Formats: sequence, C-alpha cells, structure tokens
Amino acid sequence: MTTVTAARVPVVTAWQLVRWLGLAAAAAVAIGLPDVLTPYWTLIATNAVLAFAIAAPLNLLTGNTGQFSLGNAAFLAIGAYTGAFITLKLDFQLPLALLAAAAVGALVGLLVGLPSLRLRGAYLLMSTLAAHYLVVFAAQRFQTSQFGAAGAIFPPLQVGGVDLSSDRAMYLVILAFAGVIGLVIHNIMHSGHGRALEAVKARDVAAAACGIRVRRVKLVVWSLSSAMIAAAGVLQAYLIGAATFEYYTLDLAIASIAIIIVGGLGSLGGSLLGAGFVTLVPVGINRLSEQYGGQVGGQEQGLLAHPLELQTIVYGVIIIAFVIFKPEGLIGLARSAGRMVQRAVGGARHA
Amino acid sequence: MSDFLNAVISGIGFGSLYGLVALGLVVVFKSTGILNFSAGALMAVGGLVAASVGHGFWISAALAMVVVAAIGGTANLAVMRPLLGRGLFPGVMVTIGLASILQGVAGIKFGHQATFLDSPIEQASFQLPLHTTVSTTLLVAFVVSVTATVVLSVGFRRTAVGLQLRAAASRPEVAAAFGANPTWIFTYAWAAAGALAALAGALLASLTVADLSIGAFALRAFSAMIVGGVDSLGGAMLGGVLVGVIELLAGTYLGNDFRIPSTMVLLMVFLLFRPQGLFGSAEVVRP
Repeated sequence: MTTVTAARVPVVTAWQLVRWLGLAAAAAVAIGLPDVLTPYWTLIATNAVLAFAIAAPLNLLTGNTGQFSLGNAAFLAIGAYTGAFITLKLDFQLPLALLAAAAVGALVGLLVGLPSLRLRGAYLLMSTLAAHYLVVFAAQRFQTSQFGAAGAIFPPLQVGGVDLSSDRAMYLVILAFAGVIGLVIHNIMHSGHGRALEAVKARDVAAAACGIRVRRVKLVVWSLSSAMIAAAGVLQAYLIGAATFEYYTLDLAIASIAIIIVGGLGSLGGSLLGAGFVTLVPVGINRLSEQYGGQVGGQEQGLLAHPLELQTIVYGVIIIAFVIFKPEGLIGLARSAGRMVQRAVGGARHA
Repeated sequence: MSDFLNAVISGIGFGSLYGLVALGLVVVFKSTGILNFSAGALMAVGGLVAASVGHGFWISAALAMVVVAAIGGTANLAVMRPLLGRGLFPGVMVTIGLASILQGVAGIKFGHQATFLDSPIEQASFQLPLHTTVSTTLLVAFVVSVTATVVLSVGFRRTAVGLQLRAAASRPEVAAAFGANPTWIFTYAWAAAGALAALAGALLASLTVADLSIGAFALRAFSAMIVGGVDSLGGAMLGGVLVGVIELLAGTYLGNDFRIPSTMVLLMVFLLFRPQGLFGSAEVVRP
C-alpha cells in the first residue's frame, strides 16, 4: 500500500515567486538594455557588467574566504596576454582563449595562493603585492618578446565568422560571461563548499576541527577565483582593443577591491551593486563637470573645473565612508530596505 | 668595480630614504596595527609642499614635515580612530582612500607641472677613490635617516610618550587605565609617520622632481619593513638600505626594468623563509 503525501510537491512561497519573477525581469532588462541605450551608455553598461565579472570572483576570495589580495590586476594581465597569444599568435578563437586564460590563471592563482598556507594578515597581503609586481614584470617581458613595445593589439572580436565587435554584441558577450560567473559563484556560495569558505574565513583552526580541509579549500578558491578573473581579462583586453602592461597597475587592483567594499563583502548582489555604483560615479562627476564646471569669464569654477581630481577625491571619500559607516555595503542598505518593505506588506496582510 | 661601488653607495643613499618611510610604517603598525598604504601619498605631498615653499632646502623641508605631520595626525583623529581593533582589511582600505583624497587635493592645489627643490648642499656630488661618486643629497639622506632612527629608538625607550606608546600598542585598555590616552598617543604616531614621509619626500624631490609620481617610491618601504621585521625601528632602516642596495645592483647589472622586481623578489624571499624579518620578534601576530 502506498500513500501519496502532499509534502513531496515542491512548495513555492509567494516571496520565492516574486524573486524568480524579479530575476527573470532583470535578465530581460539586461539583455534588452543596448536596444534602448545610446552607444555611449551601452559602453558604460558594458564596463559595469565587466567590473562585476571581475569583482565577483574577488569577492569570493576576499569577502567569503577572507583572503585579502592585491593580485587581481595581475590576473587580468595574465588573462589578457594568454588571450593575446592564443588568438593573435596561434589563431584560435575566443572560446579557447577564455579556457586557456582560465587554465593559466588557475595555475598562477595556485602559486600565489601557496603563501596563504603559511602567512596571514599583513604578511599575506605583502605576498600578493609582490606577486602583482612580479607578474606585471613577466607580462612586460612577454609583451616585448612577443608583441613589441606598443603591446598586443586585438582585432575586432569575431567568433566562427560572426562579427561581435559592435557595442551591442560586445555588451551581450560580456553579459553572458558575467552571467556564467555569477551562476557559478552563486552555486558555490549556496552549497556546502560555500559554508566551508565562511568557516575558513571565520576561524581556520575551528574549520579544520570541523573536518574542513582548510589548505585544500584555500588553494581551490585561490585558483578558481584567479581563473575567473583571468578569463575576464581576455574580454577586458578585447573591449579595450589592446593589452599593454602599463594598464595593469595596483590602482586597477584596488578598483575591484573598492567595488566589493562599496557593494558588500561576501555577497554576489553586493558585487553587482558595487560594480554599478563605482562605474557610475566618475560618469556622474564628468557630467556635472561638463555642465557646470566650465570656465566663467576666464575664472575657473571651483572643484568642478577639475573632474579628474574630483573623481579621485570622491573615490577616496566613498571608500572611507563605506568602511567606517556602512561596512556591510550597499547590499546591506538594500537588505534593510527589503526587510522594511516585507514588514510593511506583512503588516498590511495581518491588519 | 667602480660600477659595483657606485651602485652600493647610491643604494645605501636611496635605501635610507625607503628606511625613513618604513620607520613611519613601523611606528604606525606597531602602535595601531594599521598597515599604512597612504605613505606614498604623504611622501609626495611632503615633496610638493617643500618645493612650493621656495626658501632653500632646509626651511622648506621643515615646513613640509610640519604640514604633513598635521595631515597625519588629523587623519588619525578623523578616520583611523574608528578602525582600532577591526583588523587589517578596513585599515588598509581607509589608508588607500586617504591616499586617493590626498592625491586629488594635491593635484588641484599644486597642478601637474613638475617643480624642483634646491639641494640641501650646494655642491651636488664629490669624488671618492676608485672612480666612485657620492651625491651629497644622498649623503644627507643617509645621515638624516640614521639620526631619525636613533632619535625615534631613544624616544621609544626613554621618554614617557614612547613608554605610553609601547604600552598602548600591546594593551590599549590597560594603558588607558594607567593614565595613557591612546587617542593622543596614536595621533603622535601618525604625526611622526607623516613627518618622516615628508622628509623622505623632500629629499627625493631635491634628488629628482617634485610631483605626485614620487609616491611610488614608498612601495619599497613595504619591502624594507618586512625585511627589517615589522616591529623593529633599526630593522626598518637596515631593511631599507638592503632593499636600496639590491635594487641599484639589479638596475646596474640587469637593467632598469629589474629594479622594482628585484625588491619584490627580496620581499617574497623574506616572506616565505623569514617572515619575522631580520630583527622582528617571531611571535608578532596581527591577523
């Protein structure tokens, strides 16, 4: 005799439904965005999506696993030069370049992560700083030997004879890539592996006592996040149109760290909000400066006459303000706003 | 041979400048546990302020030290104080933010035209036997740096403020209970770091040019700090000299491209094989 129990039927709560619908709507909007935006704004949206694809793996490493790294610009360089070598010298296409960049990124990520087994805190940070300069130096040597002093110049992106170099196509390619990155990280974070990462971050000795293989977890996250950042580096180089070692500065690495600080450490949504915010702030300042910052009767008008410096100042102020006043970042703001809405709706239902 | 000697002599001179900045890093790290990434910006601002004064090297440098010490002290009171006890990451990020603000403000205030600063001594260089040349500015840098190290070490060991600083560094609550005021003590530490960075910046500005780019030299101060041992003042200075000598030797025999990588290799070697540095205490753990 068998009895049919109702408990087997998956239960979808109203909030889950709202979430799914929201996600679907967001995806639809994201895909349709270049159809309504001007090319200028499409490029900005592309930059924001790419910034997310770079910041999200870094957030997995730093925010979730607690490994503070200044090495992400180096991994972008690794991706860019691997991609350049695969596509320009070996004549393969983008998909293979992405895979190769990810493979090299994973390998170097493993090496850069090795000190994390012995060092912590300031010492570990210094080792990633050293790694940054050593990798960029290697990139410089590689560039001079393979591509010449001007750097590796990328042709317009083509895959299988299809031209993907238009603003819209580039946006969609990078959006698809960012979607895959986001999905992979989301799944890691919501699995036992994700909880293992949080445990390693909170206290690695205790994590080891719980049966988590701390060394393995650390190395896997180092190479996985580096692989993803390196793959993003290929697309970044295509978007810029060239790979030059001067581009891969410590400031570039810091920009991604700023994104996860502003967005929210250890949160995928945080990486997204942070990427949008940090990409839009300089755009906003430039706009303000163009409209109000011109010279009036030969007299420079205060701060707005210096958009570049103003960007630098605002950037610093934003980082400091978030670290001190809102360490949980924009996602923390969004969550508390969400809870308020939920409470308001729930309250209305019960009333 | 003379190439070698010249590289070593210049390396000691430049290295003592890295040592000066590293001293500031050590003082701040030792007392507050914050790894100061704004040292480069403080240094550049020091050089720029000194170059804008225009009253000879010594007065300009002294003025720059006062200004940047004030900036450092103010920064501690304004943004570093809330970070005490919050670990490495927030401190590093806030000092990066501070560096960004300083660069922006300095860009507006001083523009991007490189300016120059007089040498501390009229005669630019003198000859030694074996075809070696010594830049007088580097000699001054060396003497000033060693003096600063000695003064700071004695100050740490023998003065009331130094005692309170060491007490506040190891147990802030206990130190406070015995009458030390950690807020002011840490402000002094930041002011000292600012003054040291400004001095190094002024010397570098008179060696090269005064603009924001000289802040990049502070990178080597991190190597110097680790090589010397993060909690040792004399170690920081010696680490700086070692970094400087290795850097200039690499520059002389391998080419200028190898200067920064050589200092980073040195840093990596120490991190992997002797993280406590030459003179640091092995038990220092500041996660």
